[in-house]
Amino acid sequence: MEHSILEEILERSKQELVAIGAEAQIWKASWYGYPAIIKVRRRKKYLHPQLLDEINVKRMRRETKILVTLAKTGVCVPTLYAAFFSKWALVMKAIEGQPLSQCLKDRCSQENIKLAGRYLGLIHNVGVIHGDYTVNNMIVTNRGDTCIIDFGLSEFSTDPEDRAMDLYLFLKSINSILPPEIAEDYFGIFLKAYSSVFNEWYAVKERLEEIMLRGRYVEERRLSTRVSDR
Amino acid sequence: METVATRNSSINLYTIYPSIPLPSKPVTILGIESTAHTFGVGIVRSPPFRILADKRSKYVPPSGGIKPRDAVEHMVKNAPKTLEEALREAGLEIDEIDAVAVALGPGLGPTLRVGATLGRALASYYNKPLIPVNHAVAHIEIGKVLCGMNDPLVVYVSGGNTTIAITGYQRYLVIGETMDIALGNALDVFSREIGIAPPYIVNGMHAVDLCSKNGKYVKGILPYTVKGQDMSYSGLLTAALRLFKKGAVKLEDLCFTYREIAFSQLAEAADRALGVSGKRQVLLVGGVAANDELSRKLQVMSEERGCSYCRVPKRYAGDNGVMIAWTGFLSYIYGVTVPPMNAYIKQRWRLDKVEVPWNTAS
Repeated sequence: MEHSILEEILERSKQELVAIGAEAQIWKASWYGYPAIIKVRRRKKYLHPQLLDEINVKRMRRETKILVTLAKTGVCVPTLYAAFFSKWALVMKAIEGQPLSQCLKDRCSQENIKLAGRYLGLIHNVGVIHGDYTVNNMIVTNRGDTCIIDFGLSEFSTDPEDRAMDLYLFLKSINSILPPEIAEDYFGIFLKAYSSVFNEWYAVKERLEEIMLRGRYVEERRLSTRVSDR
Repeated sequence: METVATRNSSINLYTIYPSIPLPSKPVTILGIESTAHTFGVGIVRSPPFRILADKRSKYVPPSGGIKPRDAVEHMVKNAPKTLEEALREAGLEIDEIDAVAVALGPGLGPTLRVGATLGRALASYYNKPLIPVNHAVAHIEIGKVLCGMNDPLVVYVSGGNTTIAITGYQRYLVIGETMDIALGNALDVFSREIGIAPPYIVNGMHAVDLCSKNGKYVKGILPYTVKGQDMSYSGLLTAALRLFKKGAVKLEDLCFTYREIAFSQLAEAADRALGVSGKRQVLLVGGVAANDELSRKLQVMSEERGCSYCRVPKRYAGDNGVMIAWTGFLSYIYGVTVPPMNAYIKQRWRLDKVEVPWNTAS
């Protein structure tokens, strides 16, 4: 009974649809007067309805758990207001600001890059990986903080490969919008901030170099024109 | 018969391979396939694309899975006959063949050697060029040409492979794959262990399909593992077999739930891969592509995404010599050949390690 009243409030709180992602719809909302966003997971027709419910709930559980875990670490993440498992909906505090990707194009301060590195170190320290750590998923607030959003693909993991992948994704995302020299510079700043707070930096560094090497072999393969016949 | 339809088809090769340097005179290629249980010989002539012959001899294990030694024995016995029959079907003498293509990998070493030996012998004795072909690329190319797709998201599923790939510059990029065993393997081992197979396929239906006919989905009994665009089947298999031994779930429900999860994992990984790659076509190839339920799932997924969908004609889903011959043709016109003395087999030959000169999109 009480639940359905809450669900009604959820529906009424929705103001406008702001984005449709691969996994979820994002609604702008007002949650008891506070600016919020509501993230509703997508219906997938090709999945059995019960299976879909099962995995959506499982993923929501993980996302909520991770958001709560990270709230205690000092990383700027959206505050979780409510979770509606029957509606596949999460209500979170809206973070006002502009995406770091936009901010980088306008040459924002290196302080934001430093924060992105520091926060990732703190996230990894509690055994969480983000899974999609790109500059599109960071928001620079008016106070100059860099908030991390979208934990839809994040997981509990301490595998150096997963951690190094977060770093690599960040590198790729700045490479795609900045000139190479500046991107390299910024990645150095990012790594310095990351390693200053993260305890197991050495293993991750090794793996990161391996991942980047994988990419280089790809280039070499592309340049060769003949098929090797071994 | 599907072969008749594809035999006289008027496929425009330029729409599929935009920059292909088609030869002015038709080229005839003989392809040999022997990577797992099927020994196949196919003959293709192009342009225009025509299948002249398609002969196969399939090793069916009386019990258990493929026993490499028995498979080899079967192939060695049947290879000369299969080759002869193929030539007769095409109405050709071996002299009229322009080149011999052979699948050198990936696959079982012992069976690969049968095909490789035959290929090397034909090439050196009759003085024909020998073309090395990757089995996975061959599955994709036959799918592309028969479906008329130029830039698809490829979902390649068989007993040994579960791969989601896209076209890269001069090769294929694997953007998702199984982290352990393949989908076909997961289905076969499951049906074998619970005692409903072999035979694995009856009237085009897999034993698991037959078993799950009246089943319903049971929530929360089996694990579902998709990470990014990758998926895992070994944990699912172990959990299902453990449940079977306990006997707590009705067999048809267990089969249904198992199949549902196995196929859904692939469909969701493909769904995400579409999101990442932005492709507008979905192509299902490989032996498991013959499964209607899997195909239906991927079709619904593609429609939801607004993408066109095609599965390779069932006849060419499983291993065959035609796909090797067709890929051999593509390699041949780009000058990819190998001296017979260097034509070693490669049991492990990843799809993304193959140079594919006709892939010009980046």
